Amino acid sequence: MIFQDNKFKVLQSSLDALWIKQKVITNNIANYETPGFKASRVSFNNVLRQTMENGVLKEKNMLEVDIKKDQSFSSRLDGNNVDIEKEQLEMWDTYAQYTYLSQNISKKLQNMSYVINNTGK
Amino acid sequence: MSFLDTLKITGSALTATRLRVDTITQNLANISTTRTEEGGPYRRKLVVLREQELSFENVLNQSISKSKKKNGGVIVSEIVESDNPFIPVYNPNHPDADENGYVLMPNVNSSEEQVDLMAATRAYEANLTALNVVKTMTMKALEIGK
Amino acid sequence: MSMFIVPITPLTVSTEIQPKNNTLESASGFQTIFDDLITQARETQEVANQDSMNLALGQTDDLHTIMINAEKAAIALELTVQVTSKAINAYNEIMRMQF
Repeated sequence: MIFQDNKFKVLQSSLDALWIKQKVITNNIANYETPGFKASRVSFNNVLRQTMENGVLKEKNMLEVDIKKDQSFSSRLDGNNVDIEKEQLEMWDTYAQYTYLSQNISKKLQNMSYVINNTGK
Repeated sequence: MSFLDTLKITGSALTATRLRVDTITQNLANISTTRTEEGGPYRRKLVVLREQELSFENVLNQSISKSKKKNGGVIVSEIVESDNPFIPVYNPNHPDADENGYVLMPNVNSSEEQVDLMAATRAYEANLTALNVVKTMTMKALEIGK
Repeated sequence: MSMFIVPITPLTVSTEIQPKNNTLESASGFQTIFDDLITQARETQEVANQDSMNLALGQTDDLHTIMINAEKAAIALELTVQVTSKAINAYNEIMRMQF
């Protein structure tokens, strides 16, 4: 009831998506030396999807996480196309976003708790 | 054992790289070994790295059948011996020299091994950084609501 | 390979209009609020319990969802407790009135 606020859902979905992105980046870095390995890229899209809910067809805004394999040609002999600097930059970027959003949602929860416990005092 | 799949991915890379480094140092240590247990000179050893597939399909199914879980990462699938020929070196005073005075030395090339070692070290450091980032992210998540 | 990760908490465009409980009888209106609060408190607590179990079994991966759900459960409980206590205070106030 009180958590149906759109802001909550946006924040939580974003945190989920960022976590998945970080996992893909980590996997790319882990396979930096694996022969023939192709890096995967993650992109987020805001999409409108139709879902069935309680027998009613509804259109909902969903966060789509798209994971694609980067099939680009690599100049390395072993066919591995992991760009280690790029991966590390992406990793820090994702980390910064995740930290910011988690602190954001934390503040919102703290504020709710404060309001509930201190109203009418 | 960490419950975070992401940590497992980085952990697998660190383990694989460590094994690679151990193999390289073994090669370098045995660069002059002409007698091994199997007889004959030491053969260069190589690790074969294999990708472990990372799949996000149907998370529900994965939690039921743990064996089919595709968590990503990398493993050393096998350690093979190089087929490169041994290097004959003229050294008639060597106890293992043949009738022409030639000794078959191990097929280990010092500069090749050192280049490999640098690559392995770079990979190790990159994964170590990734480990720290994931660890910090986890700590941040634990601070939600505090 | 393009796939849809359907998050457990999808975004909703607020085109859904909730019908308001237009009750003139404040007593039963309050009852509805209470029911909702208690249901909410129970549901969030169940989710948090399930999360703890998943954590113990090592079947979960993202910590932020668990932490958020735990906080939600705590807040839902706090809300129920506060509303109850204020309702009781209001009742006592009324009972203290001399007629």
